[in-house]
Amino acid sequence: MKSSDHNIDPGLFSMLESLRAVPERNMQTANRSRDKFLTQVEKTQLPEMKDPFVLLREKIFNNLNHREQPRRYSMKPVLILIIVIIMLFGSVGGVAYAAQDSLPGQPLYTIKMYSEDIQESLSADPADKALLETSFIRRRFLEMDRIEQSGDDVPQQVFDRLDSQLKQVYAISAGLDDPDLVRTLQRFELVLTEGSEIIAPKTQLASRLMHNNTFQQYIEAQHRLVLEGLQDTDAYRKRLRSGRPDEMPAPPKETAGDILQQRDQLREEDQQRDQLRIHQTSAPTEEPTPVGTEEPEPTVAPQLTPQGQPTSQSQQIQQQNQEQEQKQQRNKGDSQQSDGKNDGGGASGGGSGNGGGKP
Amino acid sequence: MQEQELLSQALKLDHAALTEIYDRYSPGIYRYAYRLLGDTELAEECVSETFVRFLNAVQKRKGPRDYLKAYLYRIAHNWVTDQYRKKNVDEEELDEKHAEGTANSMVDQVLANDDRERVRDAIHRLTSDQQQVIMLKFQEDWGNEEIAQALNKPVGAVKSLQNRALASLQRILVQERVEL
Repeated sequence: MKSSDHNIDPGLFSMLESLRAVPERNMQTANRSRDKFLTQVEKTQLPEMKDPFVLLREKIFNNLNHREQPRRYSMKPVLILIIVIIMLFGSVGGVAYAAQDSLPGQPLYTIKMYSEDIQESLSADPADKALLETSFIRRRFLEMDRIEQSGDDVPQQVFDRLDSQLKQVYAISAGLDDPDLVRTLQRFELVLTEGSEIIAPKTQLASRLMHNNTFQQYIEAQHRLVLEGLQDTDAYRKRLRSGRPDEMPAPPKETAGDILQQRDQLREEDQQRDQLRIHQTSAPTEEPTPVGTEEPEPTVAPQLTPQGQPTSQSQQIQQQNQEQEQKQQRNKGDSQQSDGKNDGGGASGGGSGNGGGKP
Repeated sequence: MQEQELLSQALKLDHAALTEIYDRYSPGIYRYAYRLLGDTELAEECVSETFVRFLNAVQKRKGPRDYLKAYLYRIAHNWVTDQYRKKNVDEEELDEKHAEGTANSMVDQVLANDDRERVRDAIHRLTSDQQQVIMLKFQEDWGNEEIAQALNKPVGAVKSLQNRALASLQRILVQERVEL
């Protein structure tokens, strides 16, 4: 066989060819295995084949015997299964349908959960199962959204369910072939995007999942994993088999060092912005903003809870820093304005706006 | 005796037919298992386990009705896959134990075995169907139709599986080379 026969890369072909060499078989061991097999053949007997008519007669006869000695609670599993199926597709079906819009804490929500479990167990094809789980994850997001809108907190139950369903999707998708895997991941990616968009900040900042990461961080981590999977399916499988998807990023610890680092970072960003403005104001085509009218943009929009409070200590400090920075910039702007007046309108004045720079 | 005739006799637990099946297919299954596992003892165990499972299936009247060879290789492949998951062989020990081939020096032997292990490892990272396509096509020289029978898939699906498997294999091996 040649590599050109199969349009295969010669390097890969030669690597595969390297596996062809097989050491000579130990004939003593081989003969022992053969003898063992043949001994087993000798001992093996086919079960007696009965005439189907005889089988049926025996069955009826046995049933009659059972009637003579009735046993309490001796419902056969098959009968139980039939009753369950009738219930599922009969009156219970209506209840299950009605339960689809229920929310945690409502009586029908348990039925909704059971109906999901049943649907999942009835789905035989792994690709279908993965897509089904993905649709359930979307339901969890919608539930969170509705709970948010009603003003309540999302119960832990919903987070836990979502987490287990995400894990289920990963477990199933690791065993899928490329086309099915890509299809699943594309769908999953859409659901995660939609989920991250509809979830309100209050829930996004809830730290009840995976090493106390916020929900937002948790979903972002899932999103990254899925996108990586779409780029390289093999790496995705490898990562899932190594169990790494559970290793979420470490929770942000707000130590004093971190806060100082954040403050330094904010200052650096402000300085960069100032330098950019200097550059822009020195350009003759642009009109500089008059002093006093411009409001410096905050570098990071502070996230507030519905009560209007900063969400964490670090954000409070960030906000204070920003206010200080704004004051400094205003003072700086004022002094530069006065300098500009003295200079008679130099265009190279720093700061956020310089009225003297107008051509 | 043709395969189908042999099988129909084997399903009746005919001693001669079962002996003939063992003698005809056990060397190929040994090679197949060795190429995937790189271990002579495990390959021998695979042969033994494959035929025991086949016999048990026949005894329970659940044996194959056709494509005996494909059926036996499928059993062998499933056993190998299970074994590979469990296997945690020390690579150095493996190299020393099974160093063979055309390399002259000890160093060359170890390097050659390393390469083979890398290829084996890459193959095991493919999906089960892709693994079988690669092994049956490029190691056992089976035709697409025979592979289609083994995988219970249409020939077209086997071709696309082969293309995907080769692409994945190349990507894995190139990636590993970069990592090294």
